[in-house]
Amino acid sequence: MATLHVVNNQKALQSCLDVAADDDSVLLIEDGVYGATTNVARALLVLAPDVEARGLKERIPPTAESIDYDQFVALIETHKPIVTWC
Amino acid sequence: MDAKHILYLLRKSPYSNSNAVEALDSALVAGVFEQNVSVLFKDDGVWQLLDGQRGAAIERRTIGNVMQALPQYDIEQLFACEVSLAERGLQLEDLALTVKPLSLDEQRKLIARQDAVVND
Repeated sequence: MATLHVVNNQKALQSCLDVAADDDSVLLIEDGVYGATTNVARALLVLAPDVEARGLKERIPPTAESIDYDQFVALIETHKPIVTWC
Repeated sequence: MDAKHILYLLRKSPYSNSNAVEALDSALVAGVFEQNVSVLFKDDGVWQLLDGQRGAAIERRTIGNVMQALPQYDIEQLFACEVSLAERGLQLEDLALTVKPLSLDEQRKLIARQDAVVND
């Protein structure tokens, strides 16, 4: 199984990207979603409620895939290990 | 039950709060239960390794002392991010514990073989 990286602040994002494998999933949550507002050279997932709460809907590039809480749960079920970057 | 591969990914400086020392305590417990435990010090977490700490000066447990217990609990897979060490000007001889420096690629492989990753 591929790894799921869950990033909850922008500062931790670079450390995560440094060691994330190409087929891993990187999900930005909470203040981590600010990390999707600048160009990142890989596919990112963002948690939609956290994007909406922060008024960032128009600032997230279309390359970042928005997911809801149910999809978050599904990601956890289909990845191992789960690494939290906080 | 088969032993799980558990990685403690420690990225926090030692005295900003009690997260680091609690994570280390948790690693010791996992060691007691004969899990396959490894520890990776990364980012500001490498400051936990610095020799010469004296937590008593601020009425805290000295985290270096907690760490020296790791090998006694059969936790011998101790790693540090070589980039984080270099960024902070830390050499291996500055550290209170013998750790193996890992490149980013080696860290990627270490994470990939875990059942669970625990943070501080």
